[in-house]
Amino acid sequence: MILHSRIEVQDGGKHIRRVGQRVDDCQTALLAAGRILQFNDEEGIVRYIALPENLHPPQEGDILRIDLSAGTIGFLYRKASPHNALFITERCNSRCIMCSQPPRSIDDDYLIEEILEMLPLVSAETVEMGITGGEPTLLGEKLIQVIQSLKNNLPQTAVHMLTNGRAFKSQQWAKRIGDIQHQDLMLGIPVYSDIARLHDFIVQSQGAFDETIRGILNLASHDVPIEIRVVTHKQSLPRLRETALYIARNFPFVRQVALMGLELVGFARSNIDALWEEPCEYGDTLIEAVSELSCRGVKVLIFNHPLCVLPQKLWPYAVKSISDWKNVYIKECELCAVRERCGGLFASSEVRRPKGIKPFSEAPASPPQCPAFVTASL
Amino acid sequence: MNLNRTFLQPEKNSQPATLLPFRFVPLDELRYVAVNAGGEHIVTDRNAIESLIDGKLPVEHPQADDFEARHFLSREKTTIAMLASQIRTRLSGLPDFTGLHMFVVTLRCDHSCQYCQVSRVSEDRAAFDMTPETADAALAHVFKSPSPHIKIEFQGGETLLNFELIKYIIEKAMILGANRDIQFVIATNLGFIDEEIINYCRDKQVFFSVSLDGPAFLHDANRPRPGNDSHARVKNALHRVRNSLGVERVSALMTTTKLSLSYPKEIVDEYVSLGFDTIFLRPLSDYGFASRSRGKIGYQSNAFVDFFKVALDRVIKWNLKGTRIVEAYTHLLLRRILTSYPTGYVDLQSPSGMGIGALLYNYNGKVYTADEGRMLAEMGDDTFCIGHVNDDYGNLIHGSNLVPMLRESMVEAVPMCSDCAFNLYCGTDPLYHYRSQGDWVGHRPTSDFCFRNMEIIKHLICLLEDDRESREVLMSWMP
Amino acid sequence: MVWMETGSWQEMADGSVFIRLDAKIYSETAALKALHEVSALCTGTVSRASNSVEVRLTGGDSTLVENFLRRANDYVLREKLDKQTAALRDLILAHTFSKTDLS
Repeated sequence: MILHSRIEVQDGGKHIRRVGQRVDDCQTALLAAGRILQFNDEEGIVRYIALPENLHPPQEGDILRIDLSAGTIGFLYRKASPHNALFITERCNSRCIMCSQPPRSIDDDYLIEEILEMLPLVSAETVEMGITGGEPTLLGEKLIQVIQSLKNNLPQTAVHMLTNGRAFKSQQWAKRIGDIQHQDLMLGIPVYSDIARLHDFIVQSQGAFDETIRGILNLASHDVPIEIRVVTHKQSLPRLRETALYIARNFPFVRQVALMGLELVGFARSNIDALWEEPCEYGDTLIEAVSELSCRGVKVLIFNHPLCVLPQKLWPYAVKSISDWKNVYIKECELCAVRERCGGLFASSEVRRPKGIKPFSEAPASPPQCPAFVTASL
Repeated sequence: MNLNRTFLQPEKNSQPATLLPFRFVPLDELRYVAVNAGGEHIVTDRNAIESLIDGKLPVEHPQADDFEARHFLSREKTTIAMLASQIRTRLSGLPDFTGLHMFVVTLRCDHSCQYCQVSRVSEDRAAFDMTPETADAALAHVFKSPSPHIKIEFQGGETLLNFELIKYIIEKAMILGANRDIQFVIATNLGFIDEEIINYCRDKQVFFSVSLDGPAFLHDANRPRPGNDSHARVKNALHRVRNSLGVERVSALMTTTKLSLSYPKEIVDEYVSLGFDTIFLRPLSDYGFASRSRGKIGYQSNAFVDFFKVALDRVIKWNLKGTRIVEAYTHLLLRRILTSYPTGYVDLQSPSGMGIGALLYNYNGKVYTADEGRMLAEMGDDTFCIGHVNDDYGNLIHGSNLVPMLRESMVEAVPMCSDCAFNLYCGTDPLYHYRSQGDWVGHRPTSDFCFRNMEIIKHLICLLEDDRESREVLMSWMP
Repeated sequence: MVWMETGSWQEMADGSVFIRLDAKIYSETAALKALHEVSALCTGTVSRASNSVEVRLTGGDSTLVENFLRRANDYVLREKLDKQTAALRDLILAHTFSKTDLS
């Protein structure tokens, strides 16, 4: 366990002590407990670092980023987590009104250099690796290198990249991704409306819809697997059913469509009044959207909705989608009989709790199944 | 809108919209239905269609966005490519060529059904059974088709009266088609089923397609046999076959006679009580014996459409109560209306599936473009015979009437069909029109085929549009 | 309705119906196609006069004229639509049967 991270230490690094000092007996005990880290610096000198108290103890196989000059330390990769992702850039060419990771126009090219350096160290047993940002395709050629490196270093690992897909309006670019022939790469691309004007408004960028649509078609023509993502909020819900129909008719080739609840951080928090709808009140709209997709053979998943706010008909589509570090279950959940199946809430939901959060005293019976032989009469 | 000040408000449409090709027909007294070039429909009214075509549809029209999203209007360059891809998907089954191959293993039968065109109550094997030599020659044609999925269906007569030949064909086909996905189906009344047949069919994954017209009084009236016990025999055999092969390996096929028309609910209920999860509400074919005895068992198309609607409603009610049963014709049409995925049903596509979707090898070695072709032949008209199993394969396809028939009967060219909004949903049936109207193009204003399909398609579109409960059931049958 | 302004019709002594349509609006093809659609109900002829398209229908009941005119009006609309979109229809088919990219 060695190397890099850029999780900022909030209190200015005062927890970092005794960098580069010899380890005494007391410290040996801390080392064994995972509170002191031993590593080789660039000159190959053995150094030790005491970890900040709020940092999760590193485990064998984890990867950390340690910046001695800036006094920062944090995880780049945690072997035990199913939610590892490569954060490629903070820059983005869209500015979605509900963005949970508001973009910044900064020079952060070093991020991708670190990723390229780190990938050979990642455990080959990793089940899935995300690529996220910002907009990863802004890195151009470097992104191709990252995917190529993932293919070479992690041949067993599924890769899921979040992108707005606009770069793939260029057939050339779509071909570059397809030509890598990554064994298990899926691109998660947002389509927020079936109407250009409304999608462009939601992503705050004129012409984005046309670019994304062309991107999806180009990627499909190079057999790159695609997931479509739709975030459900006040601006997208009025045409959610029509958007589902549009996706199903025009992109029947997509691997899956994810209908995603709002995460109330970033712009979603500052624009909350223009976005918030109670999930328990748009259940019928979700049912219509799900049925437009599934009746055309398109797989649908519902993300970020606790089961108690969903109609039971939709439970089979709900998945536990919230990454472990921001996932919470609240007091009401403690006694709930379906807690194990439920994806819970975002930690950020304390800003506004959905109405209708309530425990089930027993797991509801599944919806009526069709018996093979029925003797009842109508 | 309470957006943070740094965000832009929604724009007005900046690009002018281009009108795209579509077709339309009246749906009912008040409404029209319009279908775009890729097959996506919208229910609207004539005023909206007229304003759309005149370029005067107001942006605030409640369907303005829908017309754009469903490709009646376009502001994006991608629209053409998306429509093209929908049409390509719709036609994607064509290159596979013939997938369904029917073998008439015997004409002998123990039943003497009024509507049957071909069967003989006879003991004369030499005259009415297919020979192994004929089967060999037919099998050679089967595997000339490039289709990766081959379905071999055994037809009669009563097929089980010549089970030895069925076994012979299955054994040979499994060798010749070792690298293909082959499915075997035996069409039968199950009257002659025994343990040996059941065990063999279980081991070879054979499917059964059983004739079942409805409750006993109706089934037995439609299907006379000595003892008048056809229904009881089917029911008994059904139980044995399912126990050994599994419920899903037996499906049932019904024919609607004049008597059936009075019992739509009873027929559906019979299918439910016997545990079938599919029913195919099939009109009587206007051929052969069915044609001769038309006065007795035949009926007008509107009577069939009424029957169909009541029966479909009953099917939907069962689903709403929690019993899943699918009406096969509705399912087929819904797939064509709601998706671009190809469907294989021979009589509901353009070009017709005759020959290129299905071939029939008759007991005597003659090759027909469809099951009904040999029935017409029994009436003395061999128009749909495209040759003999001993002919060269290329000659069967190219040296016969087949290609002109397919070309001339395509809906894209047939008067009325070419302007019809439903021409991507419907299909062409050259044999039906030849039989009933004298030529394979036919005359749609007087065509029962056209009337029936128009009415049923309109009915389904209305159900999808107007009746939420029915729509949920219909969509749950998909894809 | 459209035909009130753009055409007229009268019943003839022999029981047939004579319809005169404004040729600026109705093409002969539209009239012929409408006639074809009602040909299960009646027989008829279509002929071209200087400024009009003349249709004579024999047989059928009292709803025939309205039935015929409604269909003719739809065909007029279809002709307008086809005129504007025929090139696009060809383009879509050309795309369908070719491998193209979008750039």
